[in-house]
Amino acid sequence: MTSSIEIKNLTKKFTDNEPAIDNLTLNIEKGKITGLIGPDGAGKTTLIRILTGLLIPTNGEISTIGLNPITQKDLLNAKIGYMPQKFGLYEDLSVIENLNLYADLKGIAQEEKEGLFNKVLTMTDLNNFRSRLAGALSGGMKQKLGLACTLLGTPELLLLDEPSVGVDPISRRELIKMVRELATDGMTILWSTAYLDEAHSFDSCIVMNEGKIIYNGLPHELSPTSEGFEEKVIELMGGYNPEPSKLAEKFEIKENNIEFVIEALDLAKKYGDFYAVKNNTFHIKKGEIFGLLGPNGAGKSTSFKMMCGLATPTKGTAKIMGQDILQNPSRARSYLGYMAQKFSLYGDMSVFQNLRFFSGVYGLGLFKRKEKIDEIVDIFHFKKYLNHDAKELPLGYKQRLSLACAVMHDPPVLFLDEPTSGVDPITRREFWHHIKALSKKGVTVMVTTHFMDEAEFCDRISLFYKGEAIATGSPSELKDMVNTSSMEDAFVKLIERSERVEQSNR
Amino acid sequence: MKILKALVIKEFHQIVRDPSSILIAFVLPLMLLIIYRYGINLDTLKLTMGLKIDDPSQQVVTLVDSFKSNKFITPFIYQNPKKMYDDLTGSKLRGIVIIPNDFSSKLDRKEIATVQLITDGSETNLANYAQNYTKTILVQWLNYSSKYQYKVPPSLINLDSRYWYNQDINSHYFILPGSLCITMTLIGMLLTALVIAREWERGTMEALLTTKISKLQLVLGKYIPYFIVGMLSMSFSVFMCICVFQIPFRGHLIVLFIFSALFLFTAMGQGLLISTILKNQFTASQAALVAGFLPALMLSGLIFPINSMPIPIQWLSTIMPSRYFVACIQSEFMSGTIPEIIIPNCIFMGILGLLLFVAVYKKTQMRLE
Repeated sequence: MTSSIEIKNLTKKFTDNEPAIDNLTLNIEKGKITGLIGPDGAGKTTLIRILTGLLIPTNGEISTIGLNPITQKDLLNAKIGYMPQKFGLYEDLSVIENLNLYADLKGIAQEEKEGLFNKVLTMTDLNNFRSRLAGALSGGMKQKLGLACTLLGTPELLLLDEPSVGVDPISRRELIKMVRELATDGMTILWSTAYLDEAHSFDSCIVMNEGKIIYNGLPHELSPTSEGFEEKVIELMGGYNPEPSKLAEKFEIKENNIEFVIEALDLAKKYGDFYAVKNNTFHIKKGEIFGLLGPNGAGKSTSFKMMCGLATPTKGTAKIMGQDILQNPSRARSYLGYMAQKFSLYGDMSVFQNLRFFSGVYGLGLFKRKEKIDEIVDIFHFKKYLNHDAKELPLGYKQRLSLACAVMHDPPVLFLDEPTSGVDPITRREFWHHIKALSKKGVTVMVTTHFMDEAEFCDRISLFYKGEAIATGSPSELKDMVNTSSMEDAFVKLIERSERVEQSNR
Repeated sequence: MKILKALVIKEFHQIVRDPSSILIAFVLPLMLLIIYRYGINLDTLKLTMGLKIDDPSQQVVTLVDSFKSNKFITPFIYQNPKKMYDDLTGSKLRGIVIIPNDFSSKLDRKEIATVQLITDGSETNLANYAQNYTKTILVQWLNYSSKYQYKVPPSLINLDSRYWYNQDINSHYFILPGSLCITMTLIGMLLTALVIAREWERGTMEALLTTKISKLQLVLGKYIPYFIVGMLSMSFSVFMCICVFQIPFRGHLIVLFIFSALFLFTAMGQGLLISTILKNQFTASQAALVAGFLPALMLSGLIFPINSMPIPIQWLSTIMPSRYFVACIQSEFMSGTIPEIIIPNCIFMGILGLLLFVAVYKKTQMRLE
């Protein structure tokens, strides 16, 4: 078993606090696809950047395909392909112009270009989009183009930093398939991801958390199924013991008699000639957890924003607690708690300052504010971080802070936009524990996600694809519609069905 | 070489497709030129004055003619005194001159003749001008008029002023070429200050750094396309000044382009240095405005003469490329090519430009830290 990459006692510190990578020793096998799995902040990107020579380690020895990335970076660059998290595409350039640029940068001869581009464009199914600007491509297509540019020059080692993030399951499967075809030619591939359910697509996997490796080996040895895999990883991380949700206990929900707490009637949003969302109609009852599922670009974020009043619909109405969000925006919004994707709190302010600000901005009286903040600090264990700047928090705590700020005014309706993207599985479990407890108490929750397994936690789901809700119902209803047992398969089949219908309608 | 060419082509694609680049390179200079041409006027002003002539004699007619032919006054003759006073208080006139009906008869009898001048004191500056112009006209008229010439005692000193290179002291002739300096600074610094930071922010820099690209190719790949755009913008501005605004140009175009190229090279160096260090488009643009635009305006000698600045500030201006550029450009436009001015300034600009290029090269890092 030859090693393509050898790492010994690697440590990397950015600040004097905890190291980003902590005394790592690791060998990566040649000619195989290795998955680097772990939540945000685990150290995956840092590790890959050190392997390419873009970052210099604090301690330790590395050898990437036999070369030292610190001293032999120029030699190394010629033999590797690296796709960073933001893909490195020039948005103002067309597909073919991007390919041309990278071909020149990698020293590919003019005569070889034509053949190479044809091969790569056919593989990524981008042949019909040669002259389209990279910025105008969908998320999945951008990823494929990024991969295509990385493949030019047939590198020995392919380093892919979260190439599948935010992409629909169909495109994800295609990406992995593409990469698999290359692996048979002897290329070593390192693919990093935050999705635990991708583990089984790899030959070997390395699970990281907080800068350390918690598992290194064959995915099947840890667990034969994807669901089981997550369980095992949680065990390796220290395990999770659900306690009753104090958040739900302290939550004081006002009584109301409204039947449909959230309503969307014929919502549509047009950008120029393009319909981002078409004919969106749904009614959500009190205490329901309703999920909007779908890949990036499907229109779920746009739909979501229209429901919150953050975007003006071209047509249709949105109502919260019976109040039209456009006609009575402040009243409608007073019923809402909103948790944005990733992080939208004030990074430069401390945790305490953020809590104080949001309690004030939601109109809590002075005494209520103090009481509420003390409650929140207790429930979420913020005491240690109270005076830290919000941007320095570990991701799990950032997410807890976002949730805390969203529920401070005891809203009867919660809007959560991809609340768990990138967090570790334990934090994710805890989060859904709180949400389910809140829903039992009568809080209505609307959530968007592209994690298929989170769909199982919802009471009902609306599946979005190309701006339309192609199926709405409970998870089991959707699975029955296409006769499958897993949410992901149901998703894929429903989309395929909708594509077929569209084709036959033409 | 191939890599360099690929980088330059990519940069051009981005320039053409990114509206902000076109805005900064062409629209902004045009706006500034128009503002300087029509908005800023340091000239002495043309005043509107009212005349009431109560004396019908022939000599007074020539006095009225000298009012009319004076290029600083636009006279209006009034018959109705009430209307004249109303216009004065209504700010339509800056002043009124009343020639009484015994004006010429008094002069004939060698007595003192009085002329009444009323000015609008609410703007004292203009009131002073009105007073001075009127006095000058009267004295000149007396001197040249055939009938009264001998009456006027000859003055001991006759002041004959000439303003070299700019006879009319037309302030546009020195403000507009100087403003070329400001527009060039903006383009050279502002445009380039954004580009490297943009690559860092969008993540494309990270991908570039893992290819075969060398440091020199990376740096030149930024200098070359923006140099070309800057020279095009410069030509456009020069064309506007000479052909549209009719500023006289007495030098050689080739000399103008040589030192403009040197200046652009230096300004770009400043912009790229800011971009490389700050890596953030917003802060880079702020820094470029403060470090580029303000000194170009204040310390370059365009508006305030350098000699009259405090000594430490004079030393500061020696590292501002705009100082050398303003000196060259004003002399080139107004007085033609003077080697004693052009050559030392070009040498200084060249040295600054090279120093900045080296600084940019050194500061460009091929790793993420």
